[in-house]
Amino acid sequence: MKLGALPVAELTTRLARGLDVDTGPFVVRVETEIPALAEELRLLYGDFPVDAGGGLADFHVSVRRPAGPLGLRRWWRQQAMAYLDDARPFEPLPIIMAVPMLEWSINWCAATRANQYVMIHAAVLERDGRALVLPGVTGAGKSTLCASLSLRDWRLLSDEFALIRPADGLVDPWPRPISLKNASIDVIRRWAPDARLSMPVPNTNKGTVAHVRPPSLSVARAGEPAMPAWVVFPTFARDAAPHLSPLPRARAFFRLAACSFNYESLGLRGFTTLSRMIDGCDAYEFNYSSLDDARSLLGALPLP
Amino acid sequence: MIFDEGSGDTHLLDSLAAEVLRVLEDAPAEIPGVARRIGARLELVPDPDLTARVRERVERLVAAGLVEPLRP
Repeated sequence: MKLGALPVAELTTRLARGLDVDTGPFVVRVETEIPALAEELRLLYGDFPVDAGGGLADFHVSVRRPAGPLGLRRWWRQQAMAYLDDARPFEPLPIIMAVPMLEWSINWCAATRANQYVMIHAAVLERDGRALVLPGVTGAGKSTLCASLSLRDWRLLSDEFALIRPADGLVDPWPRPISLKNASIDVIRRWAPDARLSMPVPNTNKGTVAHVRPPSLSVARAGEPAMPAWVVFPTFARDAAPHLSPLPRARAFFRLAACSFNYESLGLRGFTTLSRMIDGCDAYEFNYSSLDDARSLLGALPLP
Repeated sequence: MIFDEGSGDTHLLDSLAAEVLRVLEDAPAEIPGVARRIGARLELVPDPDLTARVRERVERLVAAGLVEPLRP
């Protein structure tokens, strides 16, 4: 059953006990009693299957109101706190930030634990069976580019994580909601008026944040990995002419490793996996200022 | 590009440094000997300039922990 098929009342009850959401490579047990979060989950994760892990979940994420002395804080200040198994890596935040907090929490779980993969901080998209990897430093426009391409010609594999399998070099999809910040929110609304976005949350440490519901087809194909063909380092520069410049593989390797969550800790396995990946890819630096230009240039990349 | 399993470090080498490492993997050698062997592999006549460049690469490889001097 898909999460979106659960009526709101039932979803709310199930979330209070903990609901297993099959996000693709990981089953996430989400627990919350915050009603607004249930509604937003329905919007963002409506296409994902629930109860698919046979009662086993990879990550347990609970977002709830923190209890203070005598339970007072719970009602006095409307806050939310994330509990990840027994860890509490984040400070309590205003309750309006529950959605970004849930997303950051799931990211945190993967980044700190999923060492069966070489993990790169990158958006990944697929077309004709081959993957485009867009590693991103903050502000490079990775997520905006990822949202725009996945809402047109490309399949979304992930907005934040390239999950590279050491055994065969394929990238496993993790097509969760795409996180947009500040001006990008309206850019994507104009780009794809039918796209469904969560309610923008102002004043987070990243500014105003909203999430895009992943395309249904991408979620339906979450079990289909893809082989990387292109590694493109994007830079958004206002008024810049679009320009793709080839990047030597060795330099691309080091930049990719610098964007990895776990390259250092994987040792030789990380080196072997990444070097094999780079050997099979063409790498580029990409400057752009318009999503239309990006769409046409990236769509015309030749196979390596 | 090479990966040092001992330290977990990844290094980017230019082609001369890679040749130096290859030669020293075969057998330890003094710097002029390394230059001679590289010259022979690449069909170059060893000259003072090549020896100086080999010395500079060896020093960098030592600093990176990839090569160590043999104690007599």
